Amino acid sequence: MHFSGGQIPVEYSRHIKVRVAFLLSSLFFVGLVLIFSIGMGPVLISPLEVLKTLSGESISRQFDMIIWNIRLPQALTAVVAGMGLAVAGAVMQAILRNPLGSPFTLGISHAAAFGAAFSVMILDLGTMTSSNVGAVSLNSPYLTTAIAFAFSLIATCIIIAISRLRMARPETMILTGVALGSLFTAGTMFLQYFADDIQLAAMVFWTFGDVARASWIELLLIAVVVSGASVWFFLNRWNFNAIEAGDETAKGLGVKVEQVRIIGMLIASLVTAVIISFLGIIGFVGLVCPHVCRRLIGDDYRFLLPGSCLVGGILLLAADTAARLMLAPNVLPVSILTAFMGAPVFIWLIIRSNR
Amino acid sequence: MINVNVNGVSFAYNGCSVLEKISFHVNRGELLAILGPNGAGKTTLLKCMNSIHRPDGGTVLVEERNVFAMSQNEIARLFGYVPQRLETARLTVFDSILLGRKPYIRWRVREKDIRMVDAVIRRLSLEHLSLRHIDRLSGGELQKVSIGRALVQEPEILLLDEPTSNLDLKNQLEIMNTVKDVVKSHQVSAVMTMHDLNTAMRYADKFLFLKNGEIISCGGCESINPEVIEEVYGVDVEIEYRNGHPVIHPLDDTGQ
Repeated sequence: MHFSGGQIPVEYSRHIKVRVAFLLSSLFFVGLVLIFSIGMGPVLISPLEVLKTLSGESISRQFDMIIWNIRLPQALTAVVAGMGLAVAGAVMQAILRNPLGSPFTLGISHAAAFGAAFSVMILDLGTMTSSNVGAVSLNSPYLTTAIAFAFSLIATCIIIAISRLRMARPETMILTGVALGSLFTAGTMFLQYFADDIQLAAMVFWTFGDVARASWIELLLIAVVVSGASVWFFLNRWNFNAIEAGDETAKGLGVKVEQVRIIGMLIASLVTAVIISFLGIIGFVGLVCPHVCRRLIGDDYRFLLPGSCLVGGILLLAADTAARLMLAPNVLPVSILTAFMGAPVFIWLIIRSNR
Repeated sequence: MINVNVNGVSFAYNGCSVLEKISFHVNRGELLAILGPNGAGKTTLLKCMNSIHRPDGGTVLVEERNVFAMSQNEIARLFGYVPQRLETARLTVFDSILLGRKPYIRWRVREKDIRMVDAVIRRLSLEHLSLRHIDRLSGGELQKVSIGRALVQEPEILLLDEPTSNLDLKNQLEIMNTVKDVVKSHQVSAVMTMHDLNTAMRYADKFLFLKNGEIISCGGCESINPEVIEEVYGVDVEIEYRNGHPVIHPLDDTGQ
């Protein structure tokens, strides 16, 4: 069967160009916000001075120190973590065929929080120190990170194992995730109930997601995982489009639906687990950014995946910059602001989509 | 010329037999209607043909090639499948139909793919809806998009699961005329499950009656008689011929 005589419609070409323009302007916007973010803080640095310092031209030792050691790693961490959380959220929404798909829906972040609480309480890793950042800190943050990561992966493995028994149905994944989230929350509350003041403070401190925790090494690790995962996601963009059209349609188009769903779930969870374990819980980015993109450019995963990535980077970086500045000299953890911003934006999206 | 040959296909679900050694063939340019009551195994048979369900026994041959020895991508190039349940997303009509080129797309969409989608959109008279999101389409328009997606797969066989269910009379006729026209003009085969006997009589060339996973009757118009329908559906009917087409009338208790 062959259908000939078709043209390349002008309107469709324009439709594609608009989406490409959206991606390019988002990329430009990431760079713009990055430069402004690096310049903002107790010591103001002009965008020109930021650009000169970043290009290797030393203006002053103080600027070099501030930019290379403090602001650049924090800003880049916000961009990369925002990209990772948003793209993982978009993929979870595709494979679960559910608009509420996100690391939170599946209990992955609850498992990480339980892992951190477990390390503080059982392994005694939370201590009281007096520093100008805060009174409570973790005396072995890497071990806490590793344990939080391990529990996130345990949650993911349980969800995948149970869903495999039920032919990897999305509803099985969601219901198992909700049940696990509830279980890990109960576990965290149990530990918190018996924790002393310092342990309790350390547990709560860990759950406040904050991109300032990452140094260059953590940033590199997160970036490697996020970029590797993003490549796999992008290679599967047509599979996600097909799954969005329904499992049966996707199978009829040659997609190995169960395999894509399980591997996609595993990789999206891995990305989320790495970010949450290093930075703490940062909510709403994974949920809101893909929905913002869906409203702007539609559900086509060819554009939705890179779009969510870029919007996630912009959103988390802007939120982190605002969190650093709005109550200066106090610095808010970015997770508080993302939740404050995310909820009204999400409600607005729901109202808009019902019109 | 035989296009697709189904030989002794059996399928069981959770130990319960759903299909019992089903055999039939469909020629090129032929439209086969699978008929039967709810739960007879019609949709399962359709899904076994393109390996969405892997049968427990039997073979499906397309021009002597064994479908079950092929990759899923190869199968997707042979069978265009239109499921009964259609999902909507915020994809445009053009992109939804373009999705049918998935078995052929490697890294990027080629000009050839775009041209073929455009040709199918014109063939289905959907030009005015080309950039509309499919979640804003009517049932009939959505069904056309789904058929368009199957057509750009360039299949040898079209599998349609109740293509006219939930459609009004005008849309039913439009969809069936389109399917029949494509089957005849491109000399492909079509297998469709149906509930409406009279629509099936009007458009199909062959009829396969299923009951409890077994074939009760298979053949052309001549194979349909009140006894077969009574056996399959448990309903008394009379068959009247109008312009050469059989029309089925159910009878009440009084035989009227």
